[in-house]
Amino acid sequence: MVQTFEEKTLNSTSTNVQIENLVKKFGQTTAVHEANIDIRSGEFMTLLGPSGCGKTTILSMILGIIDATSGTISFNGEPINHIPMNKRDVGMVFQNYALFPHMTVSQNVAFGLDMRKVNKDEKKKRVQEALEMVQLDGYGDRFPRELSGGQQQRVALARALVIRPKVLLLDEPLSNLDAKLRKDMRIQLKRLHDELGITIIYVTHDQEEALSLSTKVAVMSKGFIQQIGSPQDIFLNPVNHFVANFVGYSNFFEGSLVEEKGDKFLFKSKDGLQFLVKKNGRHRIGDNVVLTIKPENLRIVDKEHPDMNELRGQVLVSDYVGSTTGYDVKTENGQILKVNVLGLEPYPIGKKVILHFNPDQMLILDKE
Amino acid sequence: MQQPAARKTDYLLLLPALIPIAVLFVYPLIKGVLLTFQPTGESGFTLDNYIRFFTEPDYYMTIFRTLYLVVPAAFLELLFAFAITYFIRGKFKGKGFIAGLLIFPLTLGSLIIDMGIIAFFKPNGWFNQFLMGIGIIDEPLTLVYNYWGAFIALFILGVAFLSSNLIGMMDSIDPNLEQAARSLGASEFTTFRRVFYPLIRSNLLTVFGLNLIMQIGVYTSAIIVGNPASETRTFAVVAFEEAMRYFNYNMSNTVAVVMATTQLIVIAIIFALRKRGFVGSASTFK
Repeated sequence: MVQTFEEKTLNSTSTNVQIENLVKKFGQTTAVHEANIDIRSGEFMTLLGPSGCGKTTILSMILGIIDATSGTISFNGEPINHIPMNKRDVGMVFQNYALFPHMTVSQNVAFGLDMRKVNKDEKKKRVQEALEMVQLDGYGDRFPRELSGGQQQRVALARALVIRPKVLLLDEPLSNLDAKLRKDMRIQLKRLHDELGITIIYVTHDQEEALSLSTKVAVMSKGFIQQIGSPQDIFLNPVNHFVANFVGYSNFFEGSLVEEKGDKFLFKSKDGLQFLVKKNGRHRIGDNVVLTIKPENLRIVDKEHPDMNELRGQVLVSDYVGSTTGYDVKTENGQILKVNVLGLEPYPIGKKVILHFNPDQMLILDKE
Repeated sequence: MQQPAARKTDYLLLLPALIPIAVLFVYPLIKGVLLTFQPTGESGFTLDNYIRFFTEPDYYMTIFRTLYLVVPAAFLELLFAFAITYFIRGKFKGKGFIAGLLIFPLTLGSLIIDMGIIAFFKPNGWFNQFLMGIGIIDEPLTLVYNYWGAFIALFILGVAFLSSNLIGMMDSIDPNLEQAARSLGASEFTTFRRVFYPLIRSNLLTVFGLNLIMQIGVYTSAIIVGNPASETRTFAVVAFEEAMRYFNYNMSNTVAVVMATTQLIVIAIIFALRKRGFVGSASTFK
């Protein structure tokens, strides 16, 4: 029943978005520092970061709610900084959906078309198509308060898309939905993006959402863009401590690279631990860095005495979740490390173990 | 745990609260209405009081005088209060101070405001001296002890009352709604007309109605800065005169009943208008 919308009236003109040296200051505080983001047409770009990192500020500047302090935002090479927000042709889905409570679903969706003086027949057709697209045909005469959260969100999506925006902006659209609905909506969003080929800029603090939906992710913290790349890039090669932590790494060691040993570095942590770690192209001897290893790459080995890249520890917590078991292991210097082991291996609480750190699976990160 | 179903006798527990209300409010109300159907100082039934009210100009003109004073004032108050509160909506530094200034007259009460009006607007007061000083007028304007004195007093209190209500109402409208309209292509004016106004309309009519019926009962300002003998001879002025000067409680209550009826008609009209538009919460729901 879902048709392809490319040939139909909902297709939108593809737009690429360039953000150059964008700065936003609120009084003394700088919310966004010199942001540079290049978004190709048809891309699903996610701004990922904790609250207060500046992601929503960037979105608001693209939408036109607030003005940039300096820098430019361009659509297809044309700066839009000075275009008022009602002339920007940007579709927006607000976190709380912002449906007009005094209008029916159809009137909500038709609002943007009324503003564009679309004639009656075409308006009816396009509203109908937009509602079909979000699988809400038949709901046109209801009021927003009569809809569930997920349905309201789809109305908001239809309302933003029906005007054939150059860019679609989404501000944490899934955060008010329950877990199951969130997953459904994620799949729907992905499908819409594939069908419409529209440029999407998406803001979220949920790394799973970001990795699953996006073609490109920008991780932000404290107003700075920390890393831009494909979801795989971000997840497999986080550049610094913040990004790694945010996308789910744990087990961090602060220290420096002290020696070169063939294709490996010798790392010495602040509290004297030593690890061999595979070289990467970015770091050299003397660099202060952070070392990390994913819980699933840490191994518990059966032996009496630790060798190089091995630490003694004691099991603190064992968390069996079916396919894996997560352990919290306290090392001799007091650090608590996370270890994931496939299946159920019998390491009772209090058991002394030895942890093995594979040099190839340790990542060298910049300090923030 | 489930609440046990209420038994009929449980309602007896309401009696301690209902008795004072009945004694202090319902009984005088009924007594007052009954008085209007009795000849002065006697028992019996008569419509004379109402016949007098609606045939003697001294009485029936109070309806028009009151409305002629109060209705234009109420509209002007609404316009001003709306414009000011619309302008200061949202969060910004110093808003509390501006809001405080707007609402301040409510804390003073009409008597003090009336004294202020006399000092400020009297023929040799600051207002007239200023206008004459800059050469707009040659003769001082008569702005107290007439229609305009009462009008100004109503205006000050009305704007304060309306503003105190409107500030909260405007802030309860989610700013995202206006931003959504703007992003969909609406100009600022269209956003106001199609989104902001429809959402505040029902609240606006409610406070407008409340303010209007409150002002229909105007007394202090009509006496002190108005001209209670003719132009500002409102319901309350006549009712007070009948009761306290002529000791005619029957007629006094008749005036009060006509005033209450006028208020009810006004509020009925306003609520009928209110129902024609969107009535409901203007906040976004999740």
